[in-house]
Amino acid sequence: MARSRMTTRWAFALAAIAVLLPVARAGEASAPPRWLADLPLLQVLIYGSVAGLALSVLILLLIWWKEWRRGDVW
Amino acid sequence: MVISPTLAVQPFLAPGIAWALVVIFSVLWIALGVSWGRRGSGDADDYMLAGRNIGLALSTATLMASWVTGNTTLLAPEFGYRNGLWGMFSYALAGLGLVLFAPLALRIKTLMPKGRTSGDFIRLRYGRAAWWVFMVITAIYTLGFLMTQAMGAGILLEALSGFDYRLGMVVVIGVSTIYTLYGGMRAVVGTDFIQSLLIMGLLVLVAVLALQQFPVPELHRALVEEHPERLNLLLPAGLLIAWNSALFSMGEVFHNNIWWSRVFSSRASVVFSSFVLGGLAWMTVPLVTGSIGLVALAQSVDLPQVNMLFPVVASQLLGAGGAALVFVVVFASLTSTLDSLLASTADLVAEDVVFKLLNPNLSDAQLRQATRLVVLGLGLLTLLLSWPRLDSLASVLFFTGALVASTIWPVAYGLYWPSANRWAAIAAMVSGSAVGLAAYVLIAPYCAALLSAAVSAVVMGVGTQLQPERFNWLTLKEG
Repeated sequence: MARSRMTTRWAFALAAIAVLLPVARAGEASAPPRWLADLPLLQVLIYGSVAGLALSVLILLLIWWKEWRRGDVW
Repeated sequence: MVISPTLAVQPFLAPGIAWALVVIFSVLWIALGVSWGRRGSGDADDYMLAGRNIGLALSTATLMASWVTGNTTLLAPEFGYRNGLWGMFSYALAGLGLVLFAPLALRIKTLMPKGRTSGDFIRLRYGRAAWWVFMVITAIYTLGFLMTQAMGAGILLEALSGFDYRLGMVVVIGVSTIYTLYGGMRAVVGTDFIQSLLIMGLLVLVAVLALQQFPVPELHRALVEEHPERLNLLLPAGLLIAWNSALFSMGEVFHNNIWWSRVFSSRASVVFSSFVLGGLAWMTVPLVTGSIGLVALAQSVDLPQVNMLFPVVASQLLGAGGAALVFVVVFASLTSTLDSLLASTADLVAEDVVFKLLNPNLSDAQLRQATRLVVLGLGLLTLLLSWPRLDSLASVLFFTGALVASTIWPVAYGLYWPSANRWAAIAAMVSGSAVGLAAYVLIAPYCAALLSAAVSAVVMGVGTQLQPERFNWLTLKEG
């Protein structure tokens, strides 16, 4: 009984290798996956970061102005 | 407009204009620094921590200005140029260090209302042995950081304006040391506010002008045709580099007294917000400067040195005005980082070594005087160490990623877990540093911080589970 279980396991393992090995090799041979950023994404990234930086300057100045009026800068 | 792909060997700025800019800004920083330094109560706390009452605007700005180094304006474009979008993302993720430190900063402020330095925390929380390990790590990192900024100053001013390397270095270190010496933390924080506004405002101006000359659709088309790999978002190595960068920055922020001194200097009500705002605002800087790298790549600009990309593109797109803007941005970045390093390291040495270790009987006035002497000594030491020009020092600084990443978990656990074990903290810092350095040499530089932080976390966690301590949080109040 135990012997037949072992034989079955080996059979499954060999079958799995037979199926998976060619798949793995095909993956090796093909080019690595690529996902190029499209134009809208690049625009969001570049314009967004410039706008974010500009907004940071404005926010800092606004906070400073409010604190300065309250005498809370230091 | 197409940038002419010529080899730029001449300085970007006429020496006369460069000298005028240096004199104007040097006089401005020194005058403002000295004037702000006279405002306070005159005691040691005022000199070292600006009176512990800084508001949100100055606190956010000083974090921004200190974190924008010469590298942020010159190395980030190189990252964009060499590694495309992932290069920009990985540099920008360094801002996570500040954002993630925000809750810890609030906790520090609550636990240590009288604290002065990061060394105070380690000594009170884990004892003197852990303090020694921590101080060795912080000394190596800080000296490396000081030297790279000083050498960077000499090299950059030489490339931008034709100044002699040593002259440029002496000017930047000299100006930063003088106003820090006379004005202490008030001078540093006050000038940082103006410097951060200058850096951010001028970067926006350069970016807008550059993108008007070379719009994003044109940039995208050129990159798809010539360098599509720079737009590839599926790069496993990119992800690894990005998270290594984030962990390196966490290590830098979590351990270094630059950031701890900002926590102690700020009002409790603004600490959390300033770290979040400062980190988020900072993240936009490498993305903007990295975009300039993409523009250079799309235009096939021939570069004499790839780290000179930002000034080359700015001067070719915008003429002499662009070169002058870059010069001011770089000068402000260097002085704002150097002043912070000088002030916070002087606080650490004076408080932890001179006062707590060598002479606990120092009076308040003597402590203030000792801090001033350390500022002066550090300025001179930086000058001395940076006198021989070493162009490869930046790679040495990257070694420190392995060291500083090992301090993340001892600091974080120590702030939240009363059971965090002191010997586990020491073992975590030592083993994390050793494994990180081995990974740097044997695997790749971008694995160093990752492995160091991972090993340190496991050692800290396992050591604490095996032998938990019962720490009394009130012990930290005395710090």
